[in-house]
Amino acid sequence: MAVSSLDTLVAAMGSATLHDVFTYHKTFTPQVAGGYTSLFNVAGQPGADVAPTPGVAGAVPTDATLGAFPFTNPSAPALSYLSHLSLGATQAGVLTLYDRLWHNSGLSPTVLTAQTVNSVALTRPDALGADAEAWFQVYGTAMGGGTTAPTITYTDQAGNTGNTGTAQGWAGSAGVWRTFPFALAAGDTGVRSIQAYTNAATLTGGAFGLVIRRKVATVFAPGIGLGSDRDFAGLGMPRVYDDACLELLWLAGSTTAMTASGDVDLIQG
Amino acid sequence: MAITTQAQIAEALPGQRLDLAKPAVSPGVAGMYFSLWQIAGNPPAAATPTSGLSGDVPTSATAGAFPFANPVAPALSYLAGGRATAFRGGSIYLYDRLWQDVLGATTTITSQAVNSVALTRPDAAGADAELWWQNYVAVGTGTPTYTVGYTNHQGTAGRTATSVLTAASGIAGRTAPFALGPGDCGVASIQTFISSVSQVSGTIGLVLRRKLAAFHLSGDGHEVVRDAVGLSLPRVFDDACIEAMVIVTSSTASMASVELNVIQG
Repeated sequence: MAVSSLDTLVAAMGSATLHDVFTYHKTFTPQVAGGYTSLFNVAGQPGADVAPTPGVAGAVPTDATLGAFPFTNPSAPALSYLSHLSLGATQAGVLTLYDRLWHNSGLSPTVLTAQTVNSVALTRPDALGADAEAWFQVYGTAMGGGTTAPTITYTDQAGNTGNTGTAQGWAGSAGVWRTFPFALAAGDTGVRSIQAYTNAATLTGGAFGLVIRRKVATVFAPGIGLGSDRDFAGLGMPRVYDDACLELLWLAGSTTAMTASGDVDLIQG
Repeated sequence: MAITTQAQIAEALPGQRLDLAKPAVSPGVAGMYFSLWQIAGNPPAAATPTSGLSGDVPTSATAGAFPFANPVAPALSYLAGGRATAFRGGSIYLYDRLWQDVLGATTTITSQAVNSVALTRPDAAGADAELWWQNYVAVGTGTPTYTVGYTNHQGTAGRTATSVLTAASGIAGRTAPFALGPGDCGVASIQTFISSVSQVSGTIGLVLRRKLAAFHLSGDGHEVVRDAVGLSLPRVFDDACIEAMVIVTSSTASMASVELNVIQG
C-alpha cells in the first residue's frame, strides 16, 4: 500500500508498524549567531556518541550509527517519508534535518598541501550525489585558528571531476561541532565524491572532518520559548531513504545556552 | 479496527473532549521548562508522588491527569486535534507521564537506589521515553549535576544519563530532560540517582515521559489549532496520564488553555 492518497496517509499514521516517532532533546551553547552547529554529537536524546574515526576515505553512516534515529526499513516496494517535524527551542534559530550520507576523519589542520581523501561511494539512494552538500565539521576539539577558508576538490553530481569548493561563513578558532558548508562550483548541484582537502592557511590545531549531507526538511523557532511544526503537506512529504542517518543542524540566532526539542515522524507505505 | 481513512476520523470526531485550563501559571523564568502538573485549575493540581524511590505508574485516573475512557479492544485511541492558547507566547507540550517517583532529601549526595517499577504504556520497553527531573517543592542553593544509572530501550543496563539544565533555587514545577548515553533513544527503567551537591532544601523527583504533541504560540494571546493529520495522528495509549508542560517567552504570570479531541477506532 503506497502512500498515494490522504486515506493511505491516514492509514500509515494510524498504524503501529508504519509510523515511527522519534523524540529529540539537545542542550548546547552556540558559538556565534548566524553559524551552524551539528547536533549529532551534542548531549541529549538521542544520546550523543564521540566523533567518528573512519579515516580520510570515510564511511557511510546509517541509522544504526550511534546518535542517529534508528528505524526499520520498509518492506519493498514501500518507502519511508517524513510526515511531521516539530521544534520547540529556548532560543531563536533554524533547525534543519539532514541525511548524513558520508563522513571522514584523520585530516591534518596544519598541512598546507592537498590531502588525499578519495571518499568511499555514497549509497543513498545511489552513488550519484544529487543534491548532496559538502561540509567542514569540527569534531571534539575546537580549531586553533586560521581565518582563511579551506577548500575541497570534488566530483560533482554529473560525474565531472576537478571541481573546487570553498568553505562558507568561515571563522578561525571554530568551536566544537561547528559546521561550514562548501560553496560548489558554478552549475553544480551536488557532490558525488571528494578527492582532496586543502588548508588555505594553517588551522593551528583542532579535530575536524568532512561530511556530505542531503537536506530533508527545515523548521524554525522565531524567538525565546517558541517553535513551529510542519505537517506532511507543509514539508512536501520528503523521502527518507533506507538506512538514512538523520542528523539535526542548528543555525543559531544567539549565543545563549539553549535546548532544542521536538519530534521527527516517519511513515511508510 | 484502527483509524485508516479520513472518513473514519470525521466519523469519530469530536470523540472525547479533554480540557485544560490553568489560570495562574508562574513559570519563574523565560526559556525554561515548567510542568503544569501541580498547578491548580482543570485538571486539578496533582499531589507530590508518595511512591518513594521506585515510583509508580500514573494513569488517566491519577489526580492531575486528563481523565478519559479507554476504547473497547481492538480499537485504539488517537489525538485527532487540539487547540491551545496562553497569555504569554511560548510552547505548550503534551506528554504521557509514564512513571514518576520522589527522591530522598535534596541534601543527600550519595547514590540512591531507585529500581523503578516497570513501565506499562504501551509496554515495558521504554521506546522514546524521555528522562526528566522535576522540582515538587522549590529547591535551595546549590547547582548540582544529577547522574542517573538506567536501562535503555533496547534492554541494555548500566547506561548513564546526565542532567543538563539544573539551577540553584529552582521553583516548584521546574523540570528539564537528561542527556542520555550514546545512541540511546529511550529509557526502560532507572536503577540509581546521585546528585553532585546538596541543594539544602526542597523536594525533587524523576519522571519518564513520552511526548504526544506540541503547540507553539508565536506571541502573547495567540492560539494554535492542529488537526489530526497535522499532528500526524499520534497514538494515545490506554490509561495514558496526559500532562501539560510549557516553555514561555517571559517570566510574567500567564494562563494556559488546551482543548484536545481524542478519537477511537
